Amino acid sequence: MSIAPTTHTAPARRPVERSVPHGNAPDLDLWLTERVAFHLHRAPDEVDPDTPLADYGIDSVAAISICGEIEERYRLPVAPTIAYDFPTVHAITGHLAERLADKAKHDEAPS
Amino acid sequence: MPHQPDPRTLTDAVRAGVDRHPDRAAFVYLHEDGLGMRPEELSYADLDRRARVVAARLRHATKGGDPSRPVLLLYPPTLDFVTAFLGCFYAGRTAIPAPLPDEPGERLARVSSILQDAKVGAVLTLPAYRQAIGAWLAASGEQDVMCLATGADEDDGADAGLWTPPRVGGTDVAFLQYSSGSTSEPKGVMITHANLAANQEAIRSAMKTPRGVVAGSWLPLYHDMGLIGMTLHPLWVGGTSVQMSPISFVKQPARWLRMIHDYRVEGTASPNFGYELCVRRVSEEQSSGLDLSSLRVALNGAEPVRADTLRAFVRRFAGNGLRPEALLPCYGLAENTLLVSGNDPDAPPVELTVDAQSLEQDELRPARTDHPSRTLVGCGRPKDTEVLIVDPMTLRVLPEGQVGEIWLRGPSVAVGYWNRRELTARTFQAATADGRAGYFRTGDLGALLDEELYVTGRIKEMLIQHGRNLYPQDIEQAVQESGDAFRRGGGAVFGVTDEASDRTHVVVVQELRPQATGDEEPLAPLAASVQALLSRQFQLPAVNVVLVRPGVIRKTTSGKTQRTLMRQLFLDGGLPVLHQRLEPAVAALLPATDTAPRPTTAAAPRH
Repeated sequence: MSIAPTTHTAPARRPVERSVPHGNAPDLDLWLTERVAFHLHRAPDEVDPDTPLADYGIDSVAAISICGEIEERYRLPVAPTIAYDFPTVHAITGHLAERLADKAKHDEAPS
Repeated sequence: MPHQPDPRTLTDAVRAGVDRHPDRAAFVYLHEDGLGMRPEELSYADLDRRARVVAARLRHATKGGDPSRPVLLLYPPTLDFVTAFLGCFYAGRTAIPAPLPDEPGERLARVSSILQDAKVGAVLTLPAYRQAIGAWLAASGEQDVMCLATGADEDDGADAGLWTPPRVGGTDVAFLQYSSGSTSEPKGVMITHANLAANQEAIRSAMKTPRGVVAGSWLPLYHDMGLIGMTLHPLWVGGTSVQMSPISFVKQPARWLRMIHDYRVEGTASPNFGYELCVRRVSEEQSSGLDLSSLRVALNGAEPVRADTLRAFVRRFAGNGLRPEALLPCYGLAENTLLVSGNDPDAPPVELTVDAQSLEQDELRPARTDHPSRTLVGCGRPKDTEVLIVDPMTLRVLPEGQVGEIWLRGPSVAVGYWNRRELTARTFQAATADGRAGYFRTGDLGALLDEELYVTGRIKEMLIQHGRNLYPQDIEQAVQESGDAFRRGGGAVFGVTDEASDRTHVVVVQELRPQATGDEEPLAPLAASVQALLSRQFQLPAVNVVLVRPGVIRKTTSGKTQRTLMRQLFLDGGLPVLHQRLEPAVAALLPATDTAPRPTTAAAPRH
């Protein structure tokens, strides 16, 4: 006997069918700034995109939360250390824009 | 084989499961794979075979060595940890579960100190980490400690047949649990095979765990709640344990709920902060369609249980079939193997609103109208472990309704700390004033009322003011509820002593909400309002108030406020202060001479 999920097809969300937001820079900046502010318990206009997140007192739960939300929104696996590897909002969005452009190229190429 | 007797050791339990249902999944591990979760299954038969391979290899490789030296397990969160842990049981060796020190920093320092403290005989890990760990052992001056790799790559299948069952006595130490202890040096709690069996039976009877239960969690495998409760307990009753890593959970808390839905999970566990994270971060879209009605037991322990969290979680997920009585506040600690007591799984959590002033005087009394009150959550009725409430100073046993130190005695209480005779004698062999002996002192404070255990705090964080006990979390909560400017959960209260007068001064460090940190001007009245509040509500004259930005209060990864660390940062002048009001005697304790309010976010110089 094996324990398989009993509801493979049940009311699960179907994220693949949901449209993935475009990874253009202003959109990314706006969204990420808002999420960083949420996890650091600040107002969005308080998060400066060029100030290191460490200066805002980011902890491991906030860093991993931000990573998870990027993955969820942009359907793009990222390292849990992204907020440390790319220490500011702009550094993260710059990196993401590149990754998303690569991904778009890949998706368009015939398989 | 009908009617086998109940297992006596974990090894017996697993072997019984192998005989009865070899193909049943003992474990399912949900690995993040790209963006989805990929389940890895391990049947009872596979678990048994792989554990035998580990045991045979361990015995062969350490032949001639001292078999009493423990075996350190350094694994990423995978099922290879489980097979290696069981392999140590199969080899009759003492295991030490620990996290993989895969990056420099605090975790590496902690594992290094375990290595030194435990006099480890061998290290088990995955092939990919063997070289790095070998180098680390050499650098630590432990060249004679062997590092063995286990896992699929090394599994040629040939060794499994070489295994012979170990001769294990109930008093043999099964494993050492090094409590996270962020502040003090590591202490290895010695859990014997008899302790483990006793606590597994205690959990089974308290939770009414059915045979073949399906449990599921994201807790670390090397830590008591995740290990004893969520990994070994399902094995004990021939059930299935579904797991994912803490990182997978924190990235997307909804994954925990989806796991419960997908696998019809009946039992789960988390510290309070996990439930809070779900309330805060799971979207309606993510929770729609999830069925949580399979959940019978959702343990909440390992940190203070908050009544408002329980209520918010029940409210948020009632529409998903969550039963309010499934939420089960409990009290446990590594020194009692795990569980001390838990709420009845068929009844909703017990809340008790008491008079705040009486609580300060160590008594639970009904709340009075127009007087401050506190809501406590009951942690159930202790059954297998005997609980005494003892005055920590006079060692007198206290009657019902009085707050004192929680003392424990019973078959689940560990035999002591590894290689620490004096500390073991002091904490595990305590005697009451009237001569009752052999108790473990938890350092936790609580009271029994109608046999229900209420845990109220920790002794070492307690503030004693003119003979009154003040609980930091109560002062923190009162401050946070007094105004919108103060961030909930963003406070730390501690005492500092000035040698000159030998007086303890109360210091309140409180984070402000984002919108309150903008202007400098209103901060002075805010600080004054905190002083007025605490003077009125707690009769504390002139407390020291330090207002800071959000994110300054340090917490452990499980969400516990690190008051001792905050105290040290404060005394070092290392807090980025927005505004502060300090008594001259307290200001004199700090390195900086300038104690006027400084509108700065930069840390004060340390030298």
